[in-house]
Amino acid sequence: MDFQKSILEIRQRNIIMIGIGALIAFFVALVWPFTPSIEQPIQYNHQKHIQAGLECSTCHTLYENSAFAGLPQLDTCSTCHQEPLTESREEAKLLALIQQAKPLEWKQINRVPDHVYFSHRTHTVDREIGCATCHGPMEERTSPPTKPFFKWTMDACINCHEQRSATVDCNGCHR
Amino acid sequence: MARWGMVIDLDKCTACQACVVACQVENNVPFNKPEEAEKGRNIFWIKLVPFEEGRFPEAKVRFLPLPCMHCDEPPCVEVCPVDATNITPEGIVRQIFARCIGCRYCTTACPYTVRYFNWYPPDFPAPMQEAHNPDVSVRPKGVVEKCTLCHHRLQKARANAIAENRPLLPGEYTPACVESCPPKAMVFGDLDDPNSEVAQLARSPRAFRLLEELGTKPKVIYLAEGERSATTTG
Ligand code: HEC
Ligand code: HEC
Ligand code: HEC
Ligand code: HEC
Ligand code: HEC
Repeated sequence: MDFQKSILEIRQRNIIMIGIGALIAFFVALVWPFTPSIEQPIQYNHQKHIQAGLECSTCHTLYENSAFAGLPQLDTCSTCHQEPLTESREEAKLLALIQQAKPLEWKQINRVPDHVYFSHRTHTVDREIGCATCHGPMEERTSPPTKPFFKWTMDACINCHEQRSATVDCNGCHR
Repeated sequence: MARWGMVIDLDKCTACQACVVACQVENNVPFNKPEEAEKGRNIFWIKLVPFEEGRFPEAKVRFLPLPCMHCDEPPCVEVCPVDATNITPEGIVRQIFARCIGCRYCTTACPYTVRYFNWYPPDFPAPMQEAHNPDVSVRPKGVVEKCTLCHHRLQKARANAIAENRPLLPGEYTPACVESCPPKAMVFGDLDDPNSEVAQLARSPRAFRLLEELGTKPKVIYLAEGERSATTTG
């Protein structure tokens, strides 16, 4: 009898544990999609700046001459943002950063592993592939992207390379 | 299309090992340690191999810089089960580190013993961690690595050629060891271009290849020291 009772107890405890687990899972699932996985220092707005007439190269200064596009530093922003231009809280954050001379630490979203060589100059300048081909309509973005427009798998590169008869040699991309 | 190759003039080589150092730095090769040397686990994409000759008091040591031979018939490629090593149309025996599963068939197959296994995670002294060459990935534990003829330099040279809409020019792509050689004992270039310096030197009567009889057809060609060439051509 004792034996049966203890089994019953265990069952009861298990049921309670499963219940609690399900409850936790439910709440996690509720919150999950709404927490942005990447926090940028400022909710930067591409759309407003492109509409103000800025070129991509004003802020992404490196792609014309190098492999990287480059993410802007404070001195780029401070050429225009000396005084508040808007009432935006994000701009206030920016001005505070400029005053404290703290660096802007953008988190890079698009990334290939370090064993892969990718050059912006080759693609955008020399072969005149538009930014939007790979990054989508950035000029419509009102907030920083949280994931790349393309998932940069090997297939993503090779698909286009096959279409445009660019290199598919392993050594072309890997290093 | 180019067929990249290298000539090493043993008459000019002073065994200074500048090439060895240049290579380690250029390619983020982890630091070698005495304990590992004892186990034969050190990594050298190019190393200086001593050959002792004769007996005291007539003893002599010859030195041979030994990079990957970039064979036209590479035995390592034959045995790789996952196609992580392969020969490019331009003759570079490549190693795709991400693809390597670390089975080490290739290290065994290579008659020149110039393939190296990463027995440990890469370990650099603190200041060196910030000084990695960003053009070369650091290999993780468990993969085989070897001389790539600095093909990352070819990638960049080619990007420049694409930018200027022209073919690659001779001399635009040179591996770090060749570049660093103080007595200019190493020459690099296109073996298929009959006018290139490498191709001319490769036709020299002093030219020989290592373990030629195996039929691996190395693209690293040595020029014998004067004494030997006198006897072989004499
Ligand atoms: C060439 C001038 C210029 C540069 C450079 C510039 N901005 Fe702006 N920025 C503007 C203008 C103009 C506005 C106002 C746009 C509007 O409200 O229509 C603005 C607005 C903003 C706002 C408020 C937008 C909103 O959500 O209402 C933020 C935040 C901002 N900029 C951040 C930055 C950052 C960060 C940089 C540096 C990477 C930068 N800006 C560089 C001209 C510039
Ligand atoms: C052929 C596809 C392609 C095109 C065209 C392209 N990019 Fe990129 N972009 C990438 C990839 C891939 C990465 C990740 C690169 C890395 O990790 O080094 C990237 C990264 C970036 C980054 C962040 C990292 C960095 O390099 O600083 C920025 C900013 C960027 N791109 C802007 C641009 C702009 C601006 C243009 C147009 C002038 C452009 N890209 C055109 C594929 C592309
Ligand atoms: C006024 C400055 C400015 C201009 C102009 C600008 N950008 Fe950006 N861009 C930024 C900043 C700041 C970030 C980082 C925050 C973010 O991700 O939104 C960024 C991020 C990006 C990224 C994501 C980089 C990553 O992390 O992988 C891409 C892609 C990009 N920009 C493309 C473009 C393109 C294409 C244009 C031209 C149509 C352009 N940008 C114009 C400032 C600018
Ligand atoms: C939208 C199309 C497109 C995409 C996407 C793309 N590429 Fe390219 N890529 C090209 C074109 C076109 C060339 C120019 C080829 C030429 O002219 O020889 C090129 C050239 C290159 C070269 C130089 C080739 C050489 O001959 O030396 C490299 C390296 C390269 N791409 C790597 C990448 C990598 C890595 C990715 C993915 C992260 C990628 N590419 C994605 C179109 C693309
Ligand atoms: C056009 C450029 C390109 C070419 C050509 C290319 N790769 Fe890749 N490869 C990539 C990119 C970009 C990645 C990174 C994908 C990712 O992060 O998911 C990659 C990833 C890989 C990986 C997976 C690494 C990992 O950590 O999961 C392997 C293995 C690989 N490549 C092998 C090869 C081999 C073998 C060849 C030749 C047959 C080759 N690649 C040719 C661009 C290329």
